[in-house]
Amino acid sequence: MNDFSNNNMNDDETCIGSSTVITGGKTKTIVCDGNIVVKGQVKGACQVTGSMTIQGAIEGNIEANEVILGTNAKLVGNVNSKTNTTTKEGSQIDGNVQSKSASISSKVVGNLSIGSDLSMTPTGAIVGNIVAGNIAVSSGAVIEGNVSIRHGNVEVPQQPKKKQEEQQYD
Amino acid sequence: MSERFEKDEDINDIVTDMASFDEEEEVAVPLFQNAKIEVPFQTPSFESQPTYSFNTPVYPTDDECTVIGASTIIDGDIVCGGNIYIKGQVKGKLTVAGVANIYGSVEGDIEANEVILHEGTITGNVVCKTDLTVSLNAQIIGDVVAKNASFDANLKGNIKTFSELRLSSTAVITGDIVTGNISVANGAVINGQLSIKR
Repeated sequence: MNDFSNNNMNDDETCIGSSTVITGGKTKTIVCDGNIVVKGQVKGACQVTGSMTIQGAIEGNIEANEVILGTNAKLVGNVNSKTNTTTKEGSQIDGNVQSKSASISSKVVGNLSIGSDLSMTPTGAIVGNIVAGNIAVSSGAVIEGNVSIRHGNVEVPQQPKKKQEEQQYD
Repeated sequence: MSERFEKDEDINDIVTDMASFDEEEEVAVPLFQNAKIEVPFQTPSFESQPTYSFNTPVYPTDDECTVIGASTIIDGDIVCGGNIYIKGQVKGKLTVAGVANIYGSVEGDIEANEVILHEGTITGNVVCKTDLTVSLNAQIIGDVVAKNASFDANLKGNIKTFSELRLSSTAVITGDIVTGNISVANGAVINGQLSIKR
């Protein structure tokens, strides 16, 4: 077992090779307590406590601490990331993204719900509604959909009005 | 008095010699017990230890190489075009074009070119095109078909090998065996029918 320490990969590091296909059922297909790198194909839901790097294709919902989509990666499913979501140029997400912060350099078809910062590079394109705390859009980025920027310090006037209306009607 | 003392010294020498003989005998007894190997799994003999397990590079930096980490659980079928290293748990069918190195547990059938079970358990049938090697501290519960097979550990199920089957002194086979050649080390246990066909 001592020979393992000489290698770059830890015991908790999981790597799905480029020629590997994993097809799961209705339950969570991959449950990983460490980091995972997916170069192959996975059909099924994934739950990762560390970071998840996708360089292949995934069909299924993802729950992870950090999600990174490499170039030419494809994801069909929802993303739920506790910290950061990064998509690089050439990748694509078909699904909703919920994350604390996100940096989008690729095409995303779905709604985004970002807790704090959302940054879009010139190659980024979002087709869907965006809710974010801060937003930074580079020249050349594409957005098709509603954008609402909700800062934590600014009170949104519509919500109390609705409450007052409801109270009046009551 | 002096002669008596000398005699006493002689007697003492004889007594110490006797004691030393006893000590030598006491040393000889545990050696004999060690050589007996009452429980085959707890006393590995160095001759039977496989040389392949730690000399081979564990992680080739190949894109096609798949590694399932120790804390990873996969619930689904895996088709792998290259080599695979399983240190976690896999529940599902496993089809591997290269070598399947297993350190964790697999619940499901395995089809592979080569299977090396370093540690852990396989619960399911194993079909192996070339070599199957089962190290100490490992276990297979299910039927096995392979070209060559080498067992240092437990198998609960039938085994069919087309050319060679090697059972080391720690091997325990509970099931029927059909093989072309067989070599059985002293201490191996076989519970079942054995037929050698060529």
